[in-house]
Amino acid sequence: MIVSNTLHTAAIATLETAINKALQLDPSTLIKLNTLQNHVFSLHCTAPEIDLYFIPGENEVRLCGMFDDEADTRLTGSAREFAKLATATDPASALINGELELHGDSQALINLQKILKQLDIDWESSLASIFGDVIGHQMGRTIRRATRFGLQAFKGLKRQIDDYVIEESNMLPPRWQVDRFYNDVDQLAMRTERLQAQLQKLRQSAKGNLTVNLPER
Amino acid sequence: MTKPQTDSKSTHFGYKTVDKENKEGMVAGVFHSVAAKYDLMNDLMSAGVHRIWKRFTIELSAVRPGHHVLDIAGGTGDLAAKFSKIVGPEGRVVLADINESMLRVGRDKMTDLGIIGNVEYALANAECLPFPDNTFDCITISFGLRNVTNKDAALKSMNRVLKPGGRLLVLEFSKPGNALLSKAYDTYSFKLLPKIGKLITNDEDSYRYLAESIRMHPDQETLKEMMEDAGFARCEYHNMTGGIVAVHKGIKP
Repeated sequence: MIVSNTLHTAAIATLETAINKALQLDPSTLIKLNTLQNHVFSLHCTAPEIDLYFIPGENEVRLCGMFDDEADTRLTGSAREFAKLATATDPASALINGELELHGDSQALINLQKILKQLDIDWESSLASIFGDVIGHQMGRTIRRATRFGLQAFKGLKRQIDDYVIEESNMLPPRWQVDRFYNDVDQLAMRTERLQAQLQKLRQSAKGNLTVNLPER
Repeated sequence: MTKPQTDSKSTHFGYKTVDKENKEGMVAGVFHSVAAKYDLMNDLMSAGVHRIWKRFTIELSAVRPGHHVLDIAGGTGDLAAKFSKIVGPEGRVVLADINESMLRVGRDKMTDLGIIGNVEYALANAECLPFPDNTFDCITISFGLRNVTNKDAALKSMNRVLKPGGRLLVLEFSKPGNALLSKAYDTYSFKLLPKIGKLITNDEDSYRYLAESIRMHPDQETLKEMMEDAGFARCEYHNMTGGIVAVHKGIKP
């Protein structure tokens, strides 16, 4: 790969800048993150294959694609499992019941999830610093109203589309069926791997027998 | 590319062969000339990608709070500034450079950015580092090794001042693996680069030296062997941007 290391590092640098910019707009989250200062979180996503290290520092976070040392908390799993944990209301039970593999300090991870979930970006302060207090406040209020309306409208629209697509037109299967299908596929993949391993083992033992028997012929 | 063949009294300065004792002064001349616009030129020449290469080096360093880091040929302090944040008040970063102009630009830049307290500056030659044995947890040298007259002596000196288990990271231009990329890179560095140099710093020769010195620098495998010869263990390298740049890592046993 010609630019894989370079591109990967560039993408992570961009993401780190975006996260730090967002954190600057929510000082309370930044203060809470200070309690986890210098704790190394390793997130190893198996599908798609991505390694990410998250290290809260003083008033900023560091994201790395590589950290050539032991992480304090190491989490392994698919992107779907990570998304489940990130949005869970009870991260402890999501960790226990989920399929993520956890090594190291779990309490720090639960704290991190809770802190990030409470992220509340103060757009108004950054707008006020550009346009002044009066215009900034008006713009902030407009954005908050628009966001609230947008979220409600989006939720309503999503519910209606879900109902139409799944229940009325039967174009897509319901969620429980999809989950069951994915589980079946996972099971099948595991069984196939086991079968392949068995075949390999049998092939090796057959080869061994052949080699042992050869001189007798 | 193999290890450059020169007799014991001469060495290379770009494509020229010069006396060993003169190279240091000639390299100093190049960097005195470019120091003031070094950062701007780096950004222009690499389209900002040198920051990504340096970032990758920092990721490989695994430096933690409290560590002692030496950044050799640290120039204008790009790596030292990042390390200073990571090591925190309990740690220490030493920005070393053989060139007074570069060190002064670096020190002024760092001070202006408010990066003070845990950073020290040393006007030092990489071949005979003025530090006690087993001092640093990590040493980095980015785009500096190719300008050092005696690379073997420099690597041994770095090994001496590293703590056992400490790591050396060498970020340096290297040999692209792809023939097409190599051709495009040659055209860029010999035709376009000196012109950019002339436009920005009014110094075409310094940037011609830069391109030539890159070609004379040992390739990935040769540098790895040189690090092993200097006493480093678990040596490995990571190519970046198709091998235009490589980061070599070695651990002091």
